[in-house]
Parts: sequence; structure tokens; C-alpha cells
Amino acid sequence: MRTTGLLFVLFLMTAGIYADEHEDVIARRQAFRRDVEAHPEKTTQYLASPDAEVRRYALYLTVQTQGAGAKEVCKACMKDPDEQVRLTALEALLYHCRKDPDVRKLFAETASTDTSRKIAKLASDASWPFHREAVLIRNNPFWDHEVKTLRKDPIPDTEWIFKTDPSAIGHLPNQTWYREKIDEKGWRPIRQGYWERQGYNYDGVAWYRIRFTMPQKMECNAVELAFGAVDESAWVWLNGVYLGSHDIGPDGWNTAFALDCTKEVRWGEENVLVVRVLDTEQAGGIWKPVHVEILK
Amino acid sequence: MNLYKYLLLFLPIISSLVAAEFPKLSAEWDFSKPEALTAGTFPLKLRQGAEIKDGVLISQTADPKIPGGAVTLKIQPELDFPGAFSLEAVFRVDKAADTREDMLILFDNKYSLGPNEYSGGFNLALRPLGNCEFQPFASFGFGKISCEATGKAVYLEPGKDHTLRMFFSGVGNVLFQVDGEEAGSSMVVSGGLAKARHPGCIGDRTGSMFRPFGNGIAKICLYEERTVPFKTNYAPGYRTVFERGEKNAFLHYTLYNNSGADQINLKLILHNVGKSEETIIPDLKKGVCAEGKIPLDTLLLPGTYTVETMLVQKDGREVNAGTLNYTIVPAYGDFLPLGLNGISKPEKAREFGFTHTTDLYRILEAGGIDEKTRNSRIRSMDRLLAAGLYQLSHVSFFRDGGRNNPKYLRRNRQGRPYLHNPLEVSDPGLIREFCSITEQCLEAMGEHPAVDIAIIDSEVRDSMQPAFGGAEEENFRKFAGYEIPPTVVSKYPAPYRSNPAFPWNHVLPEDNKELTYYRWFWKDGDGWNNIHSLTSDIVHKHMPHHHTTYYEPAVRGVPCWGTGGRVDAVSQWTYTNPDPVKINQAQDELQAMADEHDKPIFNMTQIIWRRNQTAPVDRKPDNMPDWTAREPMAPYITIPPDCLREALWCNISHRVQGLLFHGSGCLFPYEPRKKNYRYTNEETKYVFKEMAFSVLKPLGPVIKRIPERLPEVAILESATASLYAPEHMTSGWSNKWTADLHLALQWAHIQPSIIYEDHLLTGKKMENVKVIFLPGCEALSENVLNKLQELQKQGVILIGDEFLLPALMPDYRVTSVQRTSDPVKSKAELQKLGREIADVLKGHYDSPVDASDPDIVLRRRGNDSADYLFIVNDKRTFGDYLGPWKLVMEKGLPVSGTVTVGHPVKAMYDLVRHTPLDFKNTEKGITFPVELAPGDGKMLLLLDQRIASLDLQVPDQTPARKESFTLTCSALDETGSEIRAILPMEVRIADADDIVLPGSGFYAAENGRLVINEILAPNMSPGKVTVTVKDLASGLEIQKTFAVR
Repeated sequence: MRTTGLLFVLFLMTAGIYADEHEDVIARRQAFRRDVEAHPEKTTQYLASPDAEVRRYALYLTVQTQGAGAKEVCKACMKDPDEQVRLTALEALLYHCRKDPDVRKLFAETASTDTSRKIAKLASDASWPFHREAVLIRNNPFWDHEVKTLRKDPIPDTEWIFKTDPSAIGHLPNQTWYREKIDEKGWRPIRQGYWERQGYNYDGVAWYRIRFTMPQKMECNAVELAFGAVDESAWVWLNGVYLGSHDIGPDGWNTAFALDCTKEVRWGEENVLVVRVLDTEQAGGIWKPVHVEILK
Repeated sequence: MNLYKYLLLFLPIISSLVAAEFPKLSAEWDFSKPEALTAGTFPLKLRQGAEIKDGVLISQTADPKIPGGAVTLKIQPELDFPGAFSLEAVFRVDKAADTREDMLILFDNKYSLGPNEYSGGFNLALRPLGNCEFQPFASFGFGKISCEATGKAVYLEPGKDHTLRMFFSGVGNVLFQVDGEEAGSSMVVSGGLAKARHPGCIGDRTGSMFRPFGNGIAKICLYEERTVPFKTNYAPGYRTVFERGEKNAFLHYTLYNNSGADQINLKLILHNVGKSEETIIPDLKKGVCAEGKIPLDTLLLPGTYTVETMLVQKDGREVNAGTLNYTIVPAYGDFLPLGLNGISKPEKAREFGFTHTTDLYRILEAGGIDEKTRNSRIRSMDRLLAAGLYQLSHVSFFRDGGRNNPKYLRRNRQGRPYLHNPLEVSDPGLIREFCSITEQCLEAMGEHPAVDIAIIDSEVRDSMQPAFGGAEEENFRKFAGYEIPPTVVSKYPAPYRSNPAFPWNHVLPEDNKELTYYRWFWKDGDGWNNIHSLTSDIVHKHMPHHHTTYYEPAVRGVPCWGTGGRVDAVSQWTYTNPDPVKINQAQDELQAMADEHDKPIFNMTQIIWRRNQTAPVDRKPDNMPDWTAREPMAPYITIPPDCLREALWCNISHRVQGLLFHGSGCLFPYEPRKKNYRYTNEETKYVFKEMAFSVLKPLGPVIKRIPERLPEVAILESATASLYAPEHMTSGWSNKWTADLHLALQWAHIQPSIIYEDHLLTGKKMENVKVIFLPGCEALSENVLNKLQELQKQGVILIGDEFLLPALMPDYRVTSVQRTSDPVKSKAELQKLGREIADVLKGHYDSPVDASDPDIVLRRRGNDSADYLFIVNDKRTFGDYLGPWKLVMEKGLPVSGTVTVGHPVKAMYDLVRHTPLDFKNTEKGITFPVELAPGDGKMLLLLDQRIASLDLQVPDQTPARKESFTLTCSALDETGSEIRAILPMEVRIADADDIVLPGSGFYAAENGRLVINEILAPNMSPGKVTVTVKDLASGLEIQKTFAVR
């Protein structure tokens, strides 16, 4: 509160400098840089500048100097009307104060309230609660045996249901779209293939759900969900349990990947597979077949 | 070559036709006669899939496993000819014949269509080429070897009777005639055929998988022909086409003794362009070839010359041994290469202005080059050179050599090969093997002047991934002194946002291990640059003539110097939708890559457009154009004519050393081989032709030479940002925000350049930079950041976007424009952004040129005294070709406006119209009106002096033929000084008979002066030589004469 008040006073002090709308913006910023270089102590004054670019860089210089000590300044700047200032503040908080409960609360709040999709997503990702080190049997350095595929069953490509998640909130505690049982109202049928070709002209996060039945239990060493390709990133749950992700950026659009589900799979019963897909460009979706592979 | 010359070639055969006993009808099957099967010379039986109907034999067409045609009842030794024979077939084709089979068999008793061992007999077929064009094909069995002969593509009207005649000389020649017209010839080995081992079959193969002719064959006749006793032929593996002025040129020939007796002391007399040479062949056994060579005077005027050969036998009898032709083509000139991929008809491509083609000549073969391949390729190159074209050769180890060799596959951390099997090209074994094969292949291919440019690999780095467990990993260890960081699993690092330890200010220290790895991997580590260097070195070693090597696509990857290694030039290919001015972005990107060693650049423009981006098959708008009815499923369609014209103008506004084009199937209706590339616009090819002959050829030498100006406004394509935040970067595809920003600047008349981090860190070409744009620079390395801040302190203006890392304060921040599928909206938004930038920069940076309309796109090249201003019309709307889909504005519109230049100008010239232009002086410079037709452009020369006159110096002595002479032409200003500019000039040198002489053509006169050194041809007409030089800037012309003895 005290910091916010200080910023407001400083804003009033400096506002007069920028009264002329036709002033040369480049010259102004050049003057600012010269000033803070010559007088670093004046940096915080500029946190209240009417020029967002000046505020943002003043914030940057402040965090560079104070590190985690700039937490309150950053929190205050999370209310700045300018997206870039908020973004810089958020990134500083993410780096310096990520585990601070106070700040984590701010992340969650920002994820659902910030008007900038970019900031909301960043905050949402920061509060991403799912982590799992997934090592496939083939990649296990301690598994010194040949791996054979005993059975490879396709997941039926016609029974998926689908929902877009433009605000990337589906994984948040108040949503939990990955659970086994949710209200599937509003989810629509979709087939394997690019979602653009099925009427969704959309880039962003979307969720897939499907129910499939496993065969009776077999003697095996591992069970994996093998994805032919998901364009472009995927986070996967089976029966409500997080299995892992495939998230190497746009380059991953055509890369096959597999996730171990040996412990999560329910033999001879219905299973619920949920895939959160992120597509940032061009076509998106689960566009190649998904199989359950039983390995020995 | 005309029919007359072919007839000369076959003089012994033709002469035999008039002899009393030849040709001797040996077999005749006439299906128009009743009881045709039994009435012929040898009875036939119809096979399962054949019938005789309406006087023709119809072979089945439904199933290749069912035998068709009519076959003799047994093997017929009477059809084994000891020497010369001919076959005449009367037939008709139906419209479906184009697509029915790869071969339509007329006659076969050989069984195999291609080369194989232990074969006898022969077959004759037509190879469908599409659009009712067919190529005669025959295959002959000589016992242990088998040879193929092919003719020229001929159009056969469906439903009409045609006659194909094939002559087999028995002394190494095969000639085809269709409806009495020559239809090509081939050389095969000398001697008669081995005995056929199968019955003769009409209308299908005699056995195995069947290739029925279809509908239908009316008549087949076989004739025994007179076999000549001696025959000279071209020696296989040697050229018959030479460039004018080539040294040590010989026509290699063989003399085949077909007389049935051993010969001693044969005198061979060779008559060649007024000279006769005699050679004694002391001993020539029967059935054997002697070899010899005739020295050629390549200073002759370009043309085809004939060597007549006579033999005098020991007893004094003279025998005509045939004729040999050779061709002299003009010496390699100074021109702008215009290459087209996928040409099947070189003559047609040349007619439209192309100078180079690709597909005919691969240099590398996995197992090396055998003699037969070599001979066949040399023949192809001869044909190409004679047609006035040159070859762009693929030298691709990836395509032709070690692909999929499991020994050398790149493996991931788990030891498994990657998808698409990329090679680990750092492996010393692979490098040794590669060098060995490449050396062998290039040595075998020798030097052929048609092989002009070598493309070193293509797209090989696209499938690269870090290699583990082999030489590459070891190389990094040696380079860095530590292991590949464990986070490295792909050719790109994980996005920085997924790494909580990534510095909050997005600035990576220079010693960051992951960044060090990726810089190394993209610059040298993946090994390809080294392979390309080695390939280029080997090409130059074995092909020392006018040979350029280049690598493409050179900017497909992380923007850092090094791509291509030591290749001579770099290239890139570009699609032009939705905005053809994208070409400028691609060229600037390529220039940035080339800057490291100031390499020349090429550019390839796609003639193909992707249907799904421009006119999706699954969308059916109103007013579907007619072409969709013809090509409903075409996956690739023809670039619209106005867009091609505009793209060409954009291309030449850069200092390119050649323009390449891909997709002949979309440009020409008769290129059927690329089935996905469909011909959907008939106008496009004429636009190319017009541009080629009115702009690209006359101005080509100048276009290649005008220097690029040092950048004043630069767009940074950061390698670090491309690695950690690749979503904004073009990676060589000329799309995404970074590329669109380039378009916005073009429309704002701010001429952008592209720079890499390498430019910043080395200072190369940074002297004049006043503004740097930093699109998508989410992460930078410490040194790059420091350099940018240093430049900013020096007054360079930095313009960022919303992605710019927090560590840098831009002088101005723009908001990125994210393209939608609406081209009108996207263009409007980018043009608006351009205006915003121009307004902000006013007073800090004012562009030296400006125009009243954003659709008048300007680009400058030149130096202190000469400004070359390219003006391109980008005003477009939706047309009726692709307009209904509303994805691309493909129809050009006329534009008019004014252009201002911010410095004084004394004279201005239109280099295409060859005329001075008027302008108004302003306070700082000049202004002038422009009017441009749709997609059109202008190339203007602005000078600080006026071209007042031309001076031409011709020889004052009287040179003799075969002597050299010098011409000097100068463009002078009012004070008599030479103009300090590169001027386009057209030179015409003609002899007393007005025959145009070598030395004529288009030139670039550097610093206003042109010097031509030439040698007079020995066969030109003596007397007055007239030299006319036209300055293609001012239109001034000068003419002088000199005498030749």
C-alpha cells in the first residue's frame, strides 16, 4: 500500500514533464536513459513515469539492483495498466520469488484475472501443479533387455470429445478438466486429425477426453500410451493421474512420443484418457493415431 | 538438326533403299485384311486380351497380368536379321493412351524392355508423355548386352492413322520416323542383333508383365535393309558439341568394319569445313571398331558442321563411310542465369527465356558412375548445350549417396536412429567414403561446359538432430572441453519459458553451456557445412570451367553465419503468396547469410503455389473459376501472372547472380512428369517470357553488378532468440512476424536490411546503420545485448516489440501484427504499422526515397555517383483466378503516384525503355510522377551527370580472320568524362553479309566503359564489319565499321 502511494506521488511529480503529446518520444527516452545512467539513484522515480516504456525499464533496473528485494515494487507493478510493465514484474517475481506463498497466490489470481492472455498464461503456467519424471522402459538405462511389443491397440479415433480452453484454465483447481468424472456438457465430439479441419479455427489450449476399454491383464513389463503426433504440445492424464507431457515447442508437431502408464492403466475396464493440447501456430490437435502398447 | 542432315547421317541406308533388292519385305501382318491372323507372312494367334475389330488389332487394356496382342506360333528365326532392318507400323492411338501404360508395345521378340544380359531380338514401343505426346522407344539385344534407343517426343492425333518407322543400321545407329518426318535417333553398339529367344508379339510384350498397345494396330511390316560395309560413328563418351573458343577440341569417332572381311591399310579421308585429312588404318578386323579423333577449329561461327568420311580400300575402291556432325555454340556469355527445375523440353524452355535446367544430370551416384551412365549423360549434355541451355546439377550426397546407410545414421541419446534417418556426417568413415565416391563420380563425368552450376545438397539440414555416441559428440567435447549438456535432446533447446532457471532478464551469459552447444551445432557441429565445403572443392577440382557451386535453402534454420561452408554462393526458395514483396525479405535474409564471405546470392521463386493456402480444394466459393473444372484436385497450382511479374521485379532489385524457378509442370502444359504440379494459368508463362526478353536478358549483366548499399535500417534476426523463442522467426520461410515487419517497412518506403548477431559482433556492414528493429528478440546473449546498448548510446535507434526481452529499453515499441487469413486486413494493418514507424522516425531517420502510395514499393542500389532505383507496383485486388477464395489478392491493379528522392540528381533514365526521364527539382532533391501497370516495375538510373554522348573505338588496322580485335565504347558526360556508373549496353557486330558475329550481345559497361576482346571467325565473310552499340540507359546509339581481311 505504501509503495503504491509512493508511486502515485511520483507519478504526479513527473507527469508534467510529459504533458506534450507531440513530444518526440524517441528523444524523451534517450534523455531518460542518459539521466538514469548519470544518476542511478533516480531510477525509482521513473517507476511513476507516464511513459510505460520508461516505467518498465525503471522496473527492470530496480529488479536488477535489488533482486528479490524488489518484490513489493513488482507486486505493485502487477497492477500497472501497461502489459509490458506487468509482464516484466511477473517475470521478476517468477524468477526471484516463485516459491513465496504470497506471490503464488498472486500468480493464481493473475492467471484468472489479467486481461492479457500472455500474462494470464504465464501466471497459469507458473502455477502448473503437475510434474512427473517419465522414463520409458526403452530409455531406462538400467533395463538391459530387449523390449518387445506384445500388443498394440489403437485408441478409437471416433470417440474423442473436445473443448477449447482459450484462457488456459482447465487445469486450475476450480476446473480440473483432467479428472475422470466431470460435467461433459459443452464438450463436442471430435475425431483424430487437425481440429481446424473439423471446424475449430483456433490456436491455443484445448482438451481431449476419451473412454476406452483395456484388454484383460497380460503378463508384461510396461504399458505405454504411444502418440503418433500431437500438434504441438500435449499434457496427458490417464484415469485422473498425470502421466507427463510432450512439450518441445512448435518443433514437436510431428514428433512421436510415448508415456508410461503401467501403474495407472485399468486392465479389462474402462479407462479415461485426457489430453491437454497446446497449438501456437497453423494446424493443431491429435492428428496421428494413439495406441496402447503392451511391452515385454 | 533437320531431316536433311539426318538423311545424310543415314546416307548408306537411304541409298540402299533405292538399290534393287533392298528393302526386302520379310514379314507383313495387315489386320485390315480378312483372316489377318493367317494371311500374314507368319501366322499369328490372338492372346487372351486381344481382338481384331474394324481392321485393327486391339490389345486388352484392363489388366497388365493378362497377355494381349497377337503372337507368332513359334520362335521365327526368319525374323533374326544379320544386319540392317526396319520396322514399319501403322497404328492409331486413343485419348486414353496417355495414361494407360508407361510403354505401349508395338512389337516385341526380346522379352525385356530395358537393358539386360543374354538377350536377343528387339522391341519397339511408344512411351506416353501426356497431352497426346509420345516418344518412340526401342530396345535391342546384342547377346551379352542390350541397348536402348529413344526418339523425340511427337504429337499423335488420337483416332488418326500414323506410321512409325524404325531403321536399325546394324552399324550402330537407330533412326525413327513418324509420318515421314524424322523423329530422333540414337546410337547403339555396332553389329547385328543376337537371335531372338521368344516368338514375335504384336501389340504387347511377348511375356512377363504386359504392356498392351491398346487401340489399335493396323499393320506391321519388317524389312531387311542393305547393310553398309563400313560406318563411322561418334565414339561413345565423347562430346559432339563445343563452346566457341574451346581449346583442344576433338571430334572422336569410330570406324566399324562391317564388310565381313579383315581389312588392311584402309585410308580414311575426313572432309571438314574445307579441309581434308587422311589417316591410314593399318589393320581393322571384321566386326571391330577403330577409334580416331579429328581436331576441331572452335573459332568457327556458331553452328552445326558436317564431317564427311570416305574410305579407300587396299584395292583402290572408294566407299562412303557416312557423315559426322558437330556443333559449335557461342562462348559462355555474361548473362543472368534463369534456371527452371524439371524441364523435359529444353528447346521450349529456351524459347521462353530460360538459360538453365536441372533434372538431366546428376553427378553423384551411390555406387559411382559406370561407363554407360557417363556416356548417356554426356549425350544429354550435348543435346542441352546444342539447344542453348546449361545445366544446374544436383550434387547431393544425401539424395544420391549415403542416404539410409545404417552405419552412418544419426542417433539420439538412447542410441536409436532419428525419424527420416539423418546422417551423422561428421563420421570420419562417412567423410572418407563420401570424398572417394564424389571424386570418382566427378572424375568420371569429366568436364562438360553445359554443366554450369552445381547445387550442393538441398534441405539436408532440415532433418538434423544432435548426434550422440559418435564423432559429433566427440567433436563437441574437443571444441568445448565438456560434455553435451544433458538438456540437449533436440536441434532446438526447450522454449525458455519452460525452464525456471532461465535468467529472468532473458540474457544468457556467453559461457552458457547450452547456448555454446547450440551455436556450435548450427554453425559447424552438425557437420554439413564441412561436407558442403568438401563437395564444392571436389567439384571445382574436376570441373574447372565456369562453374559455380551453391547451397540451398541456405537460411532454413537458425540465423547464423556458416551455412554452406565453402560453396561459392547461397540460395533460397520463396513462395510469393500472399504478398509477392516477400521476395525482398527472402533476398535480404539470404544476403545476411552471404555477408560472412560476401558470397553471391541466387534466389528461387516457386512457380508452384500451394492450393491449400490459396484456393483450398474443400472450399467451394461462388464463381469457381474454369480451371477448377479441369484440375479439381490439383495440390499445386500456377503462380498468378501478376504475382510472378511483381516477384521478378523484386528479385532483380537485389544483386542476384541468378534466378531459379521451381515447378515447370505448373508453367508449361507439356511437362507431365510432376503429377502434383498442375498447369492452371496459361498467362503466367508469357509474363515470364516478356520479362525475360525485355528486362532480365538486356539488363542481366547490370543486375548482377550494381552494388548493394550498406544498410541504414536493419532487422535483427537473432540466433539466440531463434533458439529459445522460435515462434516469431521465419527460419527461411518468409513468414511470421519477423518477415511481416519487413513488409511493413517496405510499404513505408523504409528500405530494410536483415542482420544477424554476427553482423553486430563483427561490425560488418554496420557502418551506416541508423535504426535496428528487434522483432521477437525474447532472449539475447550478453555480448549481443551489450553491443546493442553500445549502439544505442551512439545514437542508433532500437525499435522493439512486445516480445523484446526486459533487459533492453527500446526507443520505440511497436505491437506485432499477427496475420490472419484475410490478406486485405493483414496488408492494411501492416501498412498502418509502416506509417506509424515512418512517423515516429521522422527527424531521426528520413528515408532517402519516398512515394505517395504505400503500394509503390521502392528499393535502391548503387554507389555515391549512381543511384539505381527499383519501383514495383504492389497494388492488388482479388481477381477471378484465385479471388473467389479471398485468401490472396492475386490480381494486379495499375497505380500512379509520385516518387521523391532526397538528394540532388542531374539526370534520370529508364533502363527498360532506354530513355531519359523528366523530373522536378525540389529543395533537397527531386520528385517525379510514376505510372505502373499491374505487377509491373521500373528500373531507373539517377546520375549526378548527364549521358551526353557515346564514343566507340574500333580496330584502325585491318585484322584478318582468326585474328583478335578490340572494341571500346564509352558513355561520356558533357565534359567528355566517362560516366561513373554501370551502364547496360547492347552490342551488335555484323559481317559484310550482315551475319551477326560473336561478341554481340548485352553487356555491363562499368564506369561507363565497355571493352570487348574477340577473335574473328575463320569462316566469316571478309570485308566490312559493322559495330553498333546502344546505351540502354539513354538510348544513344553509335555505329562504326572496320575491315576484315
